This record gives sequence, structure tokens and C-alpha cells, in this order.
Amino acid sequence: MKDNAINSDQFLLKSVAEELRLPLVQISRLAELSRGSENDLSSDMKTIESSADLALQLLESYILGVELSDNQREIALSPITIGAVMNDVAHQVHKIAAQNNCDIELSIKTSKPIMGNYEAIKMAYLNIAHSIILANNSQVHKKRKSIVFAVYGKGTKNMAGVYGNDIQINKTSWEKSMSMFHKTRQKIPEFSSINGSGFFVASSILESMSLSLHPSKYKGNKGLVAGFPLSQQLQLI
Amino acid sequence: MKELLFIEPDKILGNTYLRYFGSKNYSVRVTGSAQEAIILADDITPDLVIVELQLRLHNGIDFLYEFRSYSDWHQIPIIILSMVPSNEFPSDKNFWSTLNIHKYIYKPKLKLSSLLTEINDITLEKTL
Repeated sequence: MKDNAINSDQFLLKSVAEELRLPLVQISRLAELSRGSENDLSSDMKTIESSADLALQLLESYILGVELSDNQREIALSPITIGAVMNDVAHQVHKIAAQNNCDIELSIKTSKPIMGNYEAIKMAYLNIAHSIILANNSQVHKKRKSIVFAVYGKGTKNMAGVYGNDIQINKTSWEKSMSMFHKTRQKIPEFSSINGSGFFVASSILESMSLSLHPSKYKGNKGLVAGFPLSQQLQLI
Repeated sequence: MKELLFIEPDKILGNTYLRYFGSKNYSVRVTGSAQEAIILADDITPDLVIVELQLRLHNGIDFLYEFRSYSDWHQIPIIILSMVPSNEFPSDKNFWSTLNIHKYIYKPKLKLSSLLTEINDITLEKTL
């Protein structure tokens, strides 16, 4: 059991390291291109900045996931609303979304509070959002993309999901990706330039809070969702 | 003007190749799709194809076999420029010779200037 856990960590680390090569190659080659250029470099500088930010974001999230699962960092819980977290995430990915011709939509249907760790949940959803935006960052897709941040009530839970109009993730492909995680380089075949590490890092952060991600559909878009149990005490306030 | 066909799924890198090699007197086409690459190759008959193997819904190796299956394109030089490290390729030497791969470059070690040198050499050789 322990050997498997160690292997999982190693594979996740390898996956993150592999995914980080892309933004670093982008930065390095854009810097090389810009070196000999006499043109306005502000656009290149913006791309360099966002590539570096994405790389740092993934690294920080991986570190958080490892610390949470190893109990090196305590998960301090406080009353929060998932809608506020999603709103924050949507604002934070605004720039990356704009650079990738991706529209953002927020659909917050409930504001019932839950007990949770705001920063950890935000970090998990940032990774999901980045992966969905960048999954389509290819030459292949020319149509306008959109990403939807949705929060809605379902029974005794608040469901929080991130969905894209141009990703093909479903129950079969998600289960296959999770089972193939240790075995293949291109973990999600529908993705081209990224390997989906953001999803797996998000999943590890949420798992440390006893939450799980699963594929879901929302208004015709596909994505990943997690259910946050409502706090009975907070309902009484 | 020599035609370069890049098959590169990442938009930022694709645009970087377009700008850099476009400024070096090459006509550059970039696509992220193996299917579109076949259509483009049919349209322009490139002097050189530079291909990433990790493509959306497509195995780059399958693309290479498909590309070579067309007799008109047997002699078009191919460079593999990929995130896939060399130790993950088939160890069989026939793999390289069957597909007539001119060069493999591990993408994290790429320098645009050295790729330009390779491209200049290959396209010059083709002219001679």
C-alpha cells in the first residue's frame, strides 16, 4: 500500500515536471526570438510573463498537494462560500483566458456556506481552469472557446464545477486517464500541448480534504465537478 | 522560397517558429493537426517537415507512417522536434531508416538558431 502511494507521488511529480517543460521552452524560445528583434516586444513579454506564471502556479499547487497529503500543512477550515472562491478563480484566470481567446462565464446558483479552506480550494480550481483553457491552446481549434464556472445545489451538497465548450472529458475518458496516469506520457489524448497535470494536482489537493473530482456536464459543456457537503451548524446561523 | 511545414500543437511555439523562420527567408506553414498537415502537404509540397509527435487524438508515429505511405512524399526530409525523449523511441534502427527521419531534436534542448542551421543544411542539400 505504501509502495503504491510513493509511486503515485513520483508519477505525479514526473507528470508535473513534464508539463513544466512546455512553458519553460516557450519562455526560452521567445527570449531567443526577441533578442534579435527590433520590433515592439510588449506582446512577447506578456506571453513570457503568463507562461512563467502558469509554471509557478502548477509548482505551488503540487507543493501544496504534497504538504496536505503528508500532513505537513494543516487544513484550517473556516466558513466560506464556494461561489466566492469561483468568482476569485474566474478573475484570476481572466488574463490567460483572454490570451487564449476564451470567454469566461460565471453561473452561481447558490450561496449557502460550507466549512472549507479557501486557499486550497482556490488553488485546486485554478489548476482545473488553467488545464481547461490550455487544453485547447493549439493550432487545431479556431472557434471561440468558453469556460464556465458553475456552483449549484444538489441535495446536501454545493456542487462546484469548471466546464469548457471544447473539451471532450467524460466518465470513460476520465477513468481511463486516471488509470493510465502511471503508464502513458499523453494522459488525456484529447489534449495536445499539455498532459493534464493540473487536473491530477487539483484532484490530489481535493482528495486531501476528502473531496473527489468527477466528470460532469453543464449547459452542454463538459468538465469536472466536486461536491462540497453543506455544514449543518452553518445552516442554523 | 523554400516551404517549411511545422506540425506543432502549441500555439505559442507555433507562432514563434512562424515569426523566426519567416524572418529567415522561409515560407512557413504551421498546423497542430496531423489531418490538416496531410492536406497542407498536398497543397504546398513542403521542402521540409518538422513534426512534434504528441498530437491531439493522434499518435505522431502513425502520422509519420501515413505521410511516408504517399509515394510523392518519400523523399521529403523530416525532422522530429519533440518533447518525447529519444529513449522512448523504438530501439530498432529500421524505425529511423524506414521512415527516413533526417534528425531528431529533443524540444527542451532546442535553440532556434541551431534548428535554422539544420534547416539551412537540409534544404541546401536538397537543392544540390
